[in-house]
Amino acid sequence: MSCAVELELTAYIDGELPASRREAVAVHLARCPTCQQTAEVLRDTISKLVSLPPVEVSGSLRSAVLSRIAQEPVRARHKLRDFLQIRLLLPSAGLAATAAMALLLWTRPSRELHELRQYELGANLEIVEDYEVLGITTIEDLDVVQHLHELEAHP
Amino acid sequence: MRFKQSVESDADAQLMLQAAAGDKRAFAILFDRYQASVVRFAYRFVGEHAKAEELTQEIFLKLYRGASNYRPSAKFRTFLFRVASNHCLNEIRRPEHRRSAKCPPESLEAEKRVEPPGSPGERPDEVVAGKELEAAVQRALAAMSDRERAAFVMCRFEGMPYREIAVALSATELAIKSLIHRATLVVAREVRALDAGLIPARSHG
Repeated sequence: MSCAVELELTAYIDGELPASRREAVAVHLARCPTCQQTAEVLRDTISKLVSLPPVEVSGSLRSAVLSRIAQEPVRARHKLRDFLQIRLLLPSAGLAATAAMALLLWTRPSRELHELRQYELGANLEIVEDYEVLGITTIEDLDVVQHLHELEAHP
Repeated sequence: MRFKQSVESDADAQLMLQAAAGDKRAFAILFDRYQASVVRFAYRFVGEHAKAEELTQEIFLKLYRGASNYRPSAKFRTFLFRVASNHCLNEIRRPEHRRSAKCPPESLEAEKRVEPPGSPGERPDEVVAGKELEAAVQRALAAMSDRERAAFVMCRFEGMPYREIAVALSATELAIKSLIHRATLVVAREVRALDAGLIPARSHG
């Protein structure tokens, strides 16, 4: 007759039991030769699996998958375009605008312009953060982003 | 913010979000990281190399197409294995697969295939032992239920904790504990039969 604890032996060996159950199984194992034997068989089986030959991957799989992905339309295109229009305006334009505003503020300080400047600085900080999120790290990447609208016009 | 933290702690989730925004290079990085795992999973599932690679292609394509729906509320790996296990489970339930699997997979292919000589330094008897063990494990995998097989493979070959497997298979941890225990017993029986010499070694001409 098998013990109820037997059902927990694999989880016990895998270290997947909560502390209270782990202790209960350990206590049972210490005095049950049948469960000791089962645990030994399970441990032996699990340890043997590491000596299985590795499953090989053919060299052509990568190009097969990536060429299929390359043929996929960019589904998130509109989403990305909206995202870029709202939050990723060209950084050069953004910086130029900030500089222009700073100049204006220098000559005509006003409460309204001060608020605008704060807003613009915040927006530019967000641009930098967004570029990091998107992983845009090279001039080439920026170029792609800046000309995205052209891709949109000629899908 | 729990959401933000989970994204930040999982670099793969970031890549998947980039892929969702149309970045195919980010997706290629994910593919490189996980292709071996997915092929291994699919192979253990269907027992046939060519079919496993075909399934792997479909799984990654499905992953890319569904990228815009991805929400990083779980680890990327969990999400990937959820897609992979659903795909493999659906595949083996198709009538076409059932027909072609009448004579079971390649526990059997493993024994027929003309193997290249073992890796340098590997003794011929080790190569034979490895092949016999491989055949025994594949026989055991073919004999267990689909969910037992999925849980067992994620646990034993991908090292996933029960909690993560539970999310991937939409099951409770209690159910996973039971699936993995039963599956390990099935494999243990085959391995013991092999050790006891109950299954005659076949020639590997």
